[in-house]
Amino acid sequence: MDILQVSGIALTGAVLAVVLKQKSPPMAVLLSITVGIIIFLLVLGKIGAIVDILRQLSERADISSIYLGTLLKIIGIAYIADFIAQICRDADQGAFATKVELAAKVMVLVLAVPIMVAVLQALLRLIP
Amino acid sequence: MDVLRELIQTIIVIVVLAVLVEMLLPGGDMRRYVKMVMGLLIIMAVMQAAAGVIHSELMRDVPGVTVSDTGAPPLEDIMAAGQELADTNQDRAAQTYSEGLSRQVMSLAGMNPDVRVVDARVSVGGENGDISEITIVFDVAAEGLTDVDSQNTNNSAGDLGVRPVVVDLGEKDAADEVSRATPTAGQEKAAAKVTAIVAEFYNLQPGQVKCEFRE
Repeated sequence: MDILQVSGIALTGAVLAVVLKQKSPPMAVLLSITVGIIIFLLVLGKIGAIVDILRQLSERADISSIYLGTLLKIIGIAYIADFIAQICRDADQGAFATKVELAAKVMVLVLAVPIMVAVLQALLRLIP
Repeated sequence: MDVLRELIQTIIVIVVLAVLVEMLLPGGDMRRYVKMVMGLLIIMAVMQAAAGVIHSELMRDVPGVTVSDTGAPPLEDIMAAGQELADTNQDRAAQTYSEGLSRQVMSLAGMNPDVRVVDARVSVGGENGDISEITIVFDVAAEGLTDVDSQNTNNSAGDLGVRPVVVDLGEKDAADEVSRATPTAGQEKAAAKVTAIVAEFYNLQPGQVKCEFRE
């Protein structure tokens, strides 16, 4: 049922954006941003259930919650950056989109550095 | 057998978790980056599970993920604390080094039987812990080692009459001022000889090795 709601919102927004793009392009961009945020907020509530399942699985596999938290943070960064970059591209601001993606990549790598160090240390300890 | 079963179960759960997380990944260019980190995490998880099963210390020193906004202190504070710790350790190392050198100097100077060395102060400075100055304190009252030896031989309590070594790295306090005494010509000559030997031994300029006389 929810997918029907999301699809309806997206379809209405698309039609309105096409109409508005002829008369007032800035309003069309604002509309696409609004529709994107609405869809994102609708889906946000469902993500909690998935995170709970991931947390249970990680507990079952004895994975530290720190690492799972890092992974979820990285996925969040990727999604937000993707979302904002797409909005920037819709607004014909490709340069901004590239910058946002660059920032997201740097943040992801910064978060990955401790994990890389940990893996490296563990692998080096395997060598007698 | 149970251990193996446990390990396989854990790995199956990790694989399911990885597939689930992979489904969550965004499309586009960011996917590669997230997949790389996810791969590292899976390696970590498998190694952690294996280490736990074989009771190994493989993951003992694994650092926590600290690069985040979890209330951790800022990098500047951590760097300042590290610098302070390094300075403290360097001071301690310099003090230990200076004490060891003082003992060496006392031993070296004590080989001359014509004078009696009661103290040696070594000032260490610079990044490499170079010796900046050595001060050797001689006892004017003692005539020589032979006299001291005879005194020690007569001393039934076993007191060798050796004063403790005092190492002073900083500025001298007024209370530490020693009572200067006038040495005899023979003592001065012997002291000069000792300071020359010490300077040569440590490859120092003659002016860097000083001598003091006290009663």
